[in-house]
Amino acid sequence: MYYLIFVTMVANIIATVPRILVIESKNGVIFSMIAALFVGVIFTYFVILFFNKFSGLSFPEILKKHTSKWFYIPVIVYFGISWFLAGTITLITYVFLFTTFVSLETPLITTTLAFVIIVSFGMLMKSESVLFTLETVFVLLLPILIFLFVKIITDSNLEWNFVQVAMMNINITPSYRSFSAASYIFIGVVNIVIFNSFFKEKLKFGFKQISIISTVGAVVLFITYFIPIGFNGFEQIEHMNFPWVSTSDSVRMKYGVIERLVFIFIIIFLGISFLSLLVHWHVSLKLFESIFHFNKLKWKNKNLTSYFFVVLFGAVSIYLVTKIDEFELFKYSSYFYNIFPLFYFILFLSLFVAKRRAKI
Amino acid sequence: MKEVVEKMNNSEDILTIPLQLGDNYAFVLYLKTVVDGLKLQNIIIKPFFELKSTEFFSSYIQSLPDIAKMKTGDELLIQLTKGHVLIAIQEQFFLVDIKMITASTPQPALMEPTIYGPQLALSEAIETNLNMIRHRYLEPSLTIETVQLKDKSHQSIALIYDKKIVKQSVLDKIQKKIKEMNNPLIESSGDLQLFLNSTKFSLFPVLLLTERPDRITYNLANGKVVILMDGSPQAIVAPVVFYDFMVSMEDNYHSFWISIFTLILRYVGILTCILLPAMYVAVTSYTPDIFRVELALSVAGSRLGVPYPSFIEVLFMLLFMEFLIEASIRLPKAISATATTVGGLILGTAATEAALTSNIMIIIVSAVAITSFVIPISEMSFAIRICRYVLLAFTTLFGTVGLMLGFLGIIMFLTNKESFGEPFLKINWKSTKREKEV
Amino acid sequence: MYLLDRRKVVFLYVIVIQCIVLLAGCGFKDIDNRLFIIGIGVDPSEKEEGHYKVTLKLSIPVASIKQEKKPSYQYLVHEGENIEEAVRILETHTDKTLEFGHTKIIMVNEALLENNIKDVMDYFVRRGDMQLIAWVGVAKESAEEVLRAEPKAEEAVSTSITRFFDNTGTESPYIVSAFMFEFRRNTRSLGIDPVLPIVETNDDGSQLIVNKSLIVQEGRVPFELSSRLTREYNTLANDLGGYSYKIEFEGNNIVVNIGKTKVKYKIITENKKPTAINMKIEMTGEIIESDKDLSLNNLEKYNKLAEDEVKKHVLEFLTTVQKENLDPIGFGLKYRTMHINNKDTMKKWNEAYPELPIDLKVDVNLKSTGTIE
Repeated sequence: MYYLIFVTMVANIIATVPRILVIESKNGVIFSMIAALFVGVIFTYFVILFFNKFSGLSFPEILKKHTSKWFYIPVIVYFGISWFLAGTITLITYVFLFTTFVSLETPLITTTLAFVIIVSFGMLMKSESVLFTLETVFVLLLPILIFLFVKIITDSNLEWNFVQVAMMNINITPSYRSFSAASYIFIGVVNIVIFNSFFKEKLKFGFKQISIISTVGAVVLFITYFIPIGFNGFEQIEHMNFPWVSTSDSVRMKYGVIERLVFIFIIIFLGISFLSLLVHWHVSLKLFESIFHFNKLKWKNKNLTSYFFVVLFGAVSIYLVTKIDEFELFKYSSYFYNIFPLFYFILFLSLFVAKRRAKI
Repeated sequence: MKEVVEKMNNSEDILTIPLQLGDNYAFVLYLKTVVDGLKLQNIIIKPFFELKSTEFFSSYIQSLPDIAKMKTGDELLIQLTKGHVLIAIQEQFFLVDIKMITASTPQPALMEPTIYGPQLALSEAIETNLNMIRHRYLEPSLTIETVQLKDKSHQSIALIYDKKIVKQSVLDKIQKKIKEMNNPLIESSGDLQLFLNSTKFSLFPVLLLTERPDRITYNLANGKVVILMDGSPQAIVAPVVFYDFMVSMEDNYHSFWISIFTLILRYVGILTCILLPAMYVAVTSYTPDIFRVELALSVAGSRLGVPYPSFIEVLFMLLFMEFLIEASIRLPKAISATATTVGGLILGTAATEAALTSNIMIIIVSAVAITSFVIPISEMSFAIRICRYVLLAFTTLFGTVGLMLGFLGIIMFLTNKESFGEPFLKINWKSTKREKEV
Repeated sequence: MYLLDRRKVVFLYVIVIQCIVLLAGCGFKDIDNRLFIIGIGVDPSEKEEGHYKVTLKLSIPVASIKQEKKPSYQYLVHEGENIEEAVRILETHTDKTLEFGHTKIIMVNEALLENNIKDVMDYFVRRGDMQLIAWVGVAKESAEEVLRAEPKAEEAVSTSITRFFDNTGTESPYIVSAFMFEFRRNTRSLGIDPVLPIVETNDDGSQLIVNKSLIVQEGRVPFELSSRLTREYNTLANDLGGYSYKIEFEGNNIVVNIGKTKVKYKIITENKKPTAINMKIEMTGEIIESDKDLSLNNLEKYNKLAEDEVKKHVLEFLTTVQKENLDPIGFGLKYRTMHINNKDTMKKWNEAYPELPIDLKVDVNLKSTGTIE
């Protein structure tokens, strides 16, 4: 469970979140981040609380049981689309980043195709296997990830004075945009909507768990926002397209076989964003599957509904990669983050309705 | 009795011996080729002439330790082909097992040798093997079930498990699988393993073949099911997870740090083996700026004059290496050393001299060849060898992203696999001991 | 049935292999078809105003490094309206692809620092494949000459200019090094001014000399720090040791070698205005040269003398830059970290800085007199 939360948190470092934070750096990011931290943790707490009431059931199952058709179909479709988009944003951001920094010659489509092929296979796996994959890969990557951050933070060229300067901007009132972007890192918990069916026992979520999540969240937010400033200065950070990649490019490993840390960074985050993509799309697929079932799509006694969605996902993302440019990506993803509170609202509303009906 | 003879009459080795002493007479029917003649003489024929009456003789026969249940029809014939002797005393029929076992001595462990620990492996006779296992695992809860295969070989297989700790769902699944199996011919436990494996095109083994009795008992103690098959010196262990393939028995005989070190060594080996060839392609052909300048330049320098793209170079060298490995397995031991020397040393040097490959490629290929032997169970190492080509293909197509994603894909493939309901690759936090399960 | 399946698999293999051969076109380029650019030099054009002359230093791979005695480099030079144009033209001067990922050195002509530095740096930062950890240096006379210099000690695969900066070869307090991201950060930030090393060549191009530096501020002629001031800067900014001071007393000459330094500074404020800079330097070292016998008992005395000497030098450096209204150490930045940000924080500082009194405290601790007394 924690993997779901942590992977999403870490994955957002390369996504558009730091970009938005950094652009808003003069508009009271610090307050927004603190607020987002609180809201995020409370939100996580309530989501887990709700789902504990229906342990062993996934979100579509709960809704189907307790609400009427006109209600749950639009809700699930909305959720499915949101999830698909969340995954796609990660995918497109990573593909852009990879092309800019590593291989200028490789066409975007090739890189996207590589992702789509592997992820398609992953999406069709059992949900349980998705969890195991998540766990295995994350545990494999974690030591390198920690090494990476320690290396970056202890680098002598990291100028803490700039970090302090950024902190001195605490007196500005928060902006909505930075708040929604910062709280987006806590979205990982919502993946429980599908994976809840595997948690047969009630998840413990006491003080210990809350403190772990808030500490990790705070550290991630701190790193996400302040470290790039320490490397790139407070004044011009907002001009960076990929603040974090540029940051990791600023660290040199004097005796390493790989001299530029940025490559390790990019490779590790390939794994992380792959995981995040896998989880998001898998959840999205399951959501769609739960309401659409095409009986006609059959071939050799196999129903092809899920294959249909996988192909659809792949096709849409490839289409988007070719059509969208960096500026649009940034614009749309910040819109996407901005409407996210609505998402929380609908989730809670539907859970609330389900809960009440279940009791009656 | 005549029926039996008729049914088998095209065989020359079927013998019917009438025994007669005064009024007492009996018939002994058996296949000469599978019955131990000396034993037959000692325990059946001799007593017949020493005992006073057929009653005595029949009660003597009934009290023999090797007496088997009387069968009828086709089953009887099968029993006869397995080395049972049919004895007819007046109207009574007895079946006594006087098998001639040719290969019953345990052989030294060849596939999974260790420095310490037992040096003998299983033999080819199921009795000896069962004996060995019983000797090593002295729990009363150890259960042995014998099943007949329905194929032409009619080999008997034994399911061995510790009743107390075995996972019932797994046991049921295996039993069901064996019952459902109908294949024309199963020759060895390797064969059996393939048929127990559910998917047709499988790459990674989901059952473990072992020849070491200590590994078998260790697995029994961990609640796994062991399947023995008559006539093959390997046992099948099920269910297994990925880690089981990475552990050598010797890890249990070494001190903590040594076994941790060797374990890490093995995982590093497996990673090198999978990643290195593909990495070479990714680095030389897609992103040469990953390495530091000095390294990049010397790679570039050593590739000077190589006439074809890097992935063909890698493929070419890997194939040669596979030929070499394959050849040295097939060749008689005396010649295989020559083959490796000729192949490895001369070919390698000559290939670089002729600028067909770069020096660094030779280093990579030898590293890969060595590391692929680090994996203790050879089936896994075969699977890994194939994985390498998949990864190579993916990297050639998609570059560095392909390398990384391909690797993640392999992990995903493994986690999605299951061995009799147990997930194949999964990190187990609760008991660290499980990871060391052999 | 089994046979059929195997046939299918073989067929699939063939298709996959064909796909690989066909598809491996995009982005696939072997390492021996690429040329690694090790250094880039930018000079003002000699022919036209506002144009640049770009020099690329390419490293040529050699088949066997051990046999090769001399390094082999190729130089490509072209002039263009902007850097990109010149680089594009240079790509047509060679049969291989230019690879920017290994660029370690960016040399900028002194003349470009005053006005064009932003344009020049912009190109290098914007290119994603270029390292942000490339070193930036100022070339005196011309960047082309500096890049073309091939010192005798140079090895086949590594350039000697990079060795000056990366602290694996020489380590000297006279050498300032600046990464590209550092330079860019300090140029664009308020309250700190970037310092760049000056690289010179001797007349025949067989030697490189790096021991001076420049403080760059946009829109004005960069201020050159002499070797000695460069050394003081390095002491203060990077805590570098490994240099010596000469002390004269009572007719004696002692040379003190400083090993370790530790610098702390604070800005003292009163009424929300900066009033003084408080600086404390701790140094440890040993006596390395003397024309008379020394006594260990007198170490205290020598400490005192060394302190005075260091104080003199450091103060000289600080007042010089203060007079020029330059801030290479980043006092302004420090000041900003101490105040909640508002519009006139920087204004106040800028007004106060040139006249700020500096309160310097030096603490030298000599450990020994070397192997003899």
